Amino acid sequence: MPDTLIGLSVDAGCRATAAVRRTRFSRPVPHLPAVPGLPDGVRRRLEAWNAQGHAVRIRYEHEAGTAGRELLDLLVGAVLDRIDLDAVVARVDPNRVAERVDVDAVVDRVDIAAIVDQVLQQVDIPALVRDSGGTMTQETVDAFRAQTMRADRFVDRITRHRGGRDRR
Amino acid sequence: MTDDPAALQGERAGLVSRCSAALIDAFAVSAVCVLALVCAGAVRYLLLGGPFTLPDPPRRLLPVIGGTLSVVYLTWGWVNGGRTAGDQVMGLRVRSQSELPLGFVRALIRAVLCTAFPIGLLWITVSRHRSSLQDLMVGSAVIYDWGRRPS
Repeated sequence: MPDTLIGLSVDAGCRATAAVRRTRFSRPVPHLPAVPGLPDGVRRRLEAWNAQGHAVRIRYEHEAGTAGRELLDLLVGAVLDRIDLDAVVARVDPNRVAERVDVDAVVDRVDIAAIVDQVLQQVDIPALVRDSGGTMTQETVDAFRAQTMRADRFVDRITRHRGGRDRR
Repeated sequence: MTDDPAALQGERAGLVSRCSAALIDAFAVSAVCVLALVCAGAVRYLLLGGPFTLPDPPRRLLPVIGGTLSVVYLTWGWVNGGRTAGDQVMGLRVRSQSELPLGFVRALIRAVLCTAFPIGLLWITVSRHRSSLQDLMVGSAVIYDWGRRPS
C-alpha cells in the first residue's frame, strides 16, 4: 500500500511536469498569497507546485472541453441518424404554433422605425434615383438629338443643296 | 456622310435642330412672360389687396414686352457659353465664323434679328453653309456641340 501511494505520487509528479512542458500558457500563473516569515526555499517549492498544479488543471480543463464537444457531436449525430425528422415535422401543426405566438407583442418589441432608418442610411436612395433618372434623361435627350441630326440631313437631301461638301 | 453623332460634333447644325431649339426657346420666353405676369399680380395683391388677378397690360405693349424679354434671354444665353436653353437641349452652340465666342454686341444684334425676323432661319435650306440670314449678317454659326462625347 505505501508503494502504491509512492507510485501514485511519482506518476502524478511526472504527469504534472510533462503537462507544464506541453502547455502553452494563455493566462499567467496566479501568484500565491504572500506569507510573512516564510523561508525562501519553502516559498520557491510552493510556487513550483502552484505552477505545476495550475498547468495540469488548465490542460485537463482543455482536454475535458474538447472531449465533451466531440462526445456531444457524436451523440447528436447518432440521435439525428435515428430520428425521422420528416415524420416529426409532419406531426407539428403550424396553425397551433401560430395561434400561440403573440405577433402583436413581437411587433411591439421590434423598432421598425430604427430598422428602416438603418436601411435607408445604408442605401443611398436619392443617389440611386438621381443616377438612374439622370441616365434615362440623358439617353432620351441623346436619342432626340440624334433623330434631329438625321432630320437635318433629310432636309438637306430634299433641298438638294448638299452632297458631301465641307460645311465649315 | 456619316450619321454618327460623335463624328458630326462641330459641324454646322441643320434646319430641324435649329427650329427645335428656337421652339424650345419660344416656350421658355413664354413661360418667363407668364411668370412675370403672375409675380406682378402677386405683388399688386400683396400691396393693394383685393381679388388676385393677372395684370392686363395694353395690347400694343405685349409685343414690346415679349420682344424685349426674348432679346435679353437670347443675348444672355449666347454671351454665356453660346447656348440658350433650347440650344442646350438640342446640343447646339452659337459661335462666330472664326470659331470664337460671340461678343455681347454681335449677340445682341443677332438676338434682335432672330426676334424680329425669325423666318430668316429658313435661309438654311438654300445656304451652302447652313447659315441663316442672321448668321450671314452678324458672321455667326451654329454647330453641333453636345458638350461631351456622345454615347
